[in-house]
Amino acid sequence: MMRAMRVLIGLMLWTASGHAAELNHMVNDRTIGARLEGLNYPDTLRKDLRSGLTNRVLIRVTLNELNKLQGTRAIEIAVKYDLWDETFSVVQRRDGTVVNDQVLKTLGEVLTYLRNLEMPNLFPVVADMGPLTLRAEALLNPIERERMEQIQKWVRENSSYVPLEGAAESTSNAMFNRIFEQYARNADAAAEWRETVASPVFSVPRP
Amino acid sequence: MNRRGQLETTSVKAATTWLCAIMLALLFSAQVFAQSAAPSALLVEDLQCRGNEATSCEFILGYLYLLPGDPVDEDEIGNARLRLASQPAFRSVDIYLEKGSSRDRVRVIVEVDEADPYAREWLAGTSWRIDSLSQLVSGRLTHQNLFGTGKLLDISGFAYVPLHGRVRSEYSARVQYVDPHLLDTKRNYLIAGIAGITNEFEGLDQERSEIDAFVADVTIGRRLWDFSYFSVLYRYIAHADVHLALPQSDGSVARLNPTVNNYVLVASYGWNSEDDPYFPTRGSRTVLRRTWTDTTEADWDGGFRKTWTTAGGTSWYAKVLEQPGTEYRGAIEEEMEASLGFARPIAGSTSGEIRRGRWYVEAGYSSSNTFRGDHFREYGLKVGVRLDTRSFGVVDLYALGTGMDITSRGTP
Repeated sequence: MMRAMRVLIGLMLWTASGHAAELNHMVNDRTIGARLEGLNYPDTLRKDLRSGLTNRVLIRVTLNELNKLQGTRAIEIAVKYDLWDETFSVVQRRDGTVVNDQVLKTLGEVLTYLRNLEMPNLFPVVADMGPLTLRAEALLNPIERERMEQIQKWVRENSSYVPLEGAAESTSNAMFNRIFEQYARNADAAAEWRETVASPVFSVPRP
Repeated sequence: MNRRGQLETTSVKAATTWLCAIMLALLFSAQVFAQSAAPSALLVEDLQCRGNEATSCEFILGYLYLLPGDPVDEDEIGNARLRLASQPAFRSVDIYLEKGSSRDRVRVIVEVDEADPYAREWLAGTSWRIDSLSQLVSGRLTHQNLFGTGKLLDISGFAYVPLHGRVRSEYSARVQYVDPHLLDTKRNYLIAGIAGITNEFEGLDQERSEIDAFVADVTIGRRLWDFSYFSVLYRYIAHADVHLALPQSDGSVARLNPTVNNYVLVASYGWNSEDDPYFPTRGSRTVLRRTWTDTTEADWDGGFRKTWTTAGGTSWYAKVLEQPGTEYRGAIEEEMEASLGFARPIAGSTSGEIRRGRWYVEAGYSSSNTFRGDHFREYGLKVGVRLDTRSFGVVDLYALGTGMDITSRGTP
């Protein structure tokens, strides 16, 4: 019994600590979609989702044919907790258009939804498509470059941040710096958390 | 009224009642529909802080530009979180909503986890310079969130101890208070400090000087543009005792007690665009000063340092003249007039004791004249390691060795 419990706990821990996320294609109505499973969101997500503020997951999916870019889609999932109804509004947009709008009742349902994302009908299937790959870059609560630059300017003007005082870098400060570093590497969007996943090579039947 | 008339009246009343009921129902449903279809229009009922012990809630809420009665602005809340996150006073910052007194009202909660308000820095180095062996030890302790309002109290001590050879010693201590936002202004700052110093120096020509001084100073400064600042310092010399022993050409020694300044006035312009105070990888620092005293002529001094990083993560830095500090304090460093160095990063330890670090090698050069007018050049090599540790703060350990070359001799 104890051994079984240990195995069970071990399995739970293994699941919680997260194995690598997987990205797979799906074909439906002559379109290629993506299924993104097992994203390892930060531990703070559970609390953030119940903050009453909107949490956004931005996923940029690209389709490549022999390393040649065939198309890009921006998927945004906005989750907002209703403090009174205690439900979660989950809206999925594709390139700015709402494609799915639902209300989930529990935090567990939201986490399951976010960890098993289905994004159908992203790219049309065209004739003579060679070997294909999908790539998804997921960002949690992304911050636009312009907005970050404004904050950076504000900090420069107002901060009491001086060398000695920065000696012990705080976690929040590290988060702030992490976002800056992403922009320093010329990323066009940055976030506290981001993960990139690529699919195995696949092919689709001719239409 | 006849029976038909009564029936008609009753029918009209019933129809009116039904009509009213239907209209009310329509109105109600329209309101309900309008509520569900309209975007969230939550209003801020109150703003509260949680988790703050050393930091005042007023200080924290100063980073959030929302007031009770305002609509909930999620962008502004996100910006406030980033502003607060930029402050080293907090380990983490979280902002969330709680239900208010009615359905359209919420409380905005800013929850912080405060970092250790004390920052520590240690510097220890052994140097063989010219013809004497010395040990430098320096420490600095700063409370970076005084009164819970982001003011700074900085205490530093410095000892340069002769171990062998000529006497070159210095012991000093300084306490300073820094208000980064003087009178709650955005760009103005104030520094007020007191310092004591005792210094003994023996030169190559056996000239000796001994100085004991106690000073108080106040600086008013203003941050300019993105990285620059301008400041004016007034230093009052409360006590100064200077003794000079100067060997003469006839073999005698002249002993002097010169008059010292009563005040020093310094105007400074500087900038600091380095990306990290202790482990910079790019940017520059500079300071340019003009100093006036009541007994000597006005003088210029300053320094410049440029840092850049090449492929592979090696950071290079070049420095000319004085090591520039920042607007709030000078740098404590044993240095040479000009130096060029490089640094390689050291990864943090798995235990977390060492958060980050780097080792560095620096070649330097200085030149000066002796008391009798000899011109000498000093070439040196400095090797060190700088670590950001959990227990001790920033620790810098180094060894410096120099050689000397006298090239000319003037007249005393």
